[in-house]
Amino acid sequence: MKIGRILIWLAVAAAGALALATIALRRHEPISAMWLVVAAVCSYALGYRFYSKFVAAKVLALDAMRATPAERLENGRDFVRTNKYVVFGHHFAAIAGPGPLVGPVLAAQFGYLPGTLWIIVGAVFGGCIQDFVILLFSVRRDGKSLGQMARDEIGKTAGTVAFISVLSILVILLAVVALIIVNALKDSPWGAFTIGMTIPIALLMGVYLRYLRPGRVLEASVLGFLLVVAAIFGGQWISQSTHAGAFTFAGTTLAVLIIVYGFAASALPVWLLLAPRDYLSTFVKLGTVAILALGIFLVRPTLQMPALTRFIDGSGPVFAGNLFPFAFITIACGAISGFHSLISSGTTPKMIAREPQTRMVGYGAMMCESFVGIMAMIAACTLQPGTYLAVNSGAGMVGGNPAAAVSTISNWGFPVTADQMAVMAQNVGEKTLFFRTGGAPAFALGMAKIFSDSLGGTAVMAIWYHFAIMFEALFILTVLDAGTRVARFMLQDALGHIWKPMGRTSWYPSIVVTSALMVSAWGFFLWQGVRDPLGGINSLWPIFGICNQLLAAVALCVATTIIVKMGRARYIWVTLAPLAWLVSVTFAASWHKVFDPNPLVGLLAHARQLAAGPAIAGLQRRIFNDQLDAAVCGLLVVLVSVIVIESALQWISVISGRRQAATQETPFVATAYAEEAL
Amino acid sequence: MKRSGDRKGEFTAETRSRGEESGDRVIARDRVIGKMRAFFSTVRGALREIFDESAYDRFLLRTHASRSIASYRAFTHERDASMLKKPRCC
Repeated sequence: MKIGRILIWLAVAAAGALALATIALRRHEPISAMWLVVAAVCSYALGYRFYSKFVAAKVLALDAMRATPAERLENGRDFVRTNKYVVFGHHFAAIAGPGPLVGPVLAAQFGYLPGTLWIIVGAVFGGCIQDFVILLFSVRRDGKSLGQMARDEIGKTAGTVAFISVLSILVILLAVVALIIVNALKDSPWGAFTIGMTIPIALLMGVYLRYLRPGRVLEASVLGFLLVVAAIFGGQWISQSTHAGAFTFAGTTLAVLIIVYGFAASALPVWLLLAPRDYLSTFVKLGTVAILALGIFLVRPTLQMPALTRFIDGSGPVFAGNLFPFAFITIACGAISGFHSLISSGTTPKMIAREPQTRMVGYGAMMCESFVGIMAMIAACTLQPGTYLAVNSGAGMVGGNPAAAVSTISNWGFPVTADQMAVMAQNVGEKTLFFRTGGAPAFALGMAKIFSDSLGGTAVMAIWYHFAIMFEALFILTVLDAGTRVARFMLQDALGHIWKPMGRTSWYPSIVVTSALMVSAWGFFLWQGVRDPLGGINSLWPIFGICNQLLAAVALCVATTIIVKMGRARYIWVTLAPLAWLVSVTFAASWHKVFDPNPLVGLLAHARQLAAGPAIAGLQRRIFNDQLDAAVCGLLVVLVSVIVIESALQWISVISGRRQAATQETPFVATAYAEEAL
Repeated sequence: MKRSGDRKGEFTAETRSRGEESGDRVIARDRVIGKMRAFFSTVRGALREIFDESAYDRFLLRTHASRSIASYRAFTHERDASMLKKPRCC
């Protein structure tokens, strides 16, 4: 390495170290958000330049001369050699969702320090590595899915466990994201109108694309975006008119509407609703993430949240549970997300032109996703802590009414008044901001503050707030559409083994039955969350985090097994270290969720507390819900234990020489683009 | 005292050096423009891939069809199967 480069990298390392030291050690005074940005960017740069390069060269031995499936199986449809930057954009658009926005906002209750450190360290050593290695291993196996790789490399049981894990995570994920929407839109005629309008806008885009300007998707997306912006202004008018009542919904009504929507979206033709909404959501997503980054650089906001709060002891009102393990399952997608392994073993490996590009696409795109998590953390921490807690805490955690809530929160040392909250609500065009659990409203508030500080001031804060709510809801509804369909497809595939017609994805009775089954499954958990006096997120988000991280554990088991079978057992720590961390975090979190004696944390303790308390309406149902949630946690832990044990047995037998190391890699074929590779 | 010829030579050298300087500037400008063009064409390519416009173009190429309602319907029909398996991350 030339001396100039060495000096540059030393400067990057020094800047990163200084920024990390500042965010870790500075206490009792607000710090600039730019310290978080510098710490993150420098860490990503070092991680990419040195760690990922080491993994690429020593562990994975990326081979530019080896033909990828996009070359060997090129069919102009799924398998297409694609420019690496294009694949990068495509992959990032697929992995970026509401998770990295919501998780850090919720984890901000511990202060900005734990979440920020986990986002950076978790991404560099865990999430980016997982996405990178799974992408490469899928490329070397003709683009096989995670489930297929688990079956081929570990065993049939592992394949089945992976299938059940994916299906379970989908059900819990869909329930949680639906709950976030419900909590963001309840009693908000402005938000409900705007989001409601995105459905006819998507249908209009579908018709436009199909009949008026076939295939002009970018054009239709721009048109859809302009219509959505018009709907935001329309929502403002509605909220101030006599029609406001028609768009003011209680949480339970919204839950029913979303369940009906989920079923319709799963059963309607893809071109009519799902595809145009997907395009619209992606368009808004890429634009808004870019604007948010720009806003943070322009405003360079100050963080109002302390580095650490008193809630690290587990008494948090946003969700109960100690810093360890709950901070690490609350922030999933910004640090490491099992769901990404489904994308890395889905469409992306079929587009990679050369093996070395997997590093930029897999590792690089996850770095960007992690940076989105950092931005969400900044947005949440720019709010006054009292405001943040009043918005994010469930009524059951801080008192049943605003007066009790401000008193409780102020007594914790985070002053806030009902008047301040009323002014804030008025500024963003809402009746109230109390008890808006789920993270989305708090993120929207922080984002609106950053946006309005850089453009328009308080006068346009309401527009920015509803723009942010629309953006998140659009994201989430897209996840809901696509997730229900994917789950339906998986269920059809599985039921097809029992009765063949059920496996036909175009047979309408099968579509209706499997859609209804999937919607009922996530609808059940959604309903449970909506009726939960603690806000729902308190119980559902940790379970979602556990599911997501357990799926990551499955992916890392597959990766570790392949590394051992490749004869590179000396580098096993690259995937084994994050796997060990995830297993300890998820197993500890599951234990707490099931057995913790604190009823705010432990589901069984909560059920016992309910049973011992006074007889109230729906008591048996609530007890059953707690027991069911505990059973789901327990089942997932057992399933993942099976896969971990089965994998460990494979590693031991290969390393000890009892079994011959043989991977299921597609045999080497030299690329026809050798000159390009050189 | 310098002779006129020397001064002329000096003048020519100066002009040449200025010419070289402006030539360098033109080359640098062209390089920047070229890089910007490449950047925007990559961004455009990425957007066209993300929004399936490239996939439709490939479909037209593969089926020797032209852009029409019927060909787009056939394309979306074919695309439905992959959309079914395409999760959107949380």
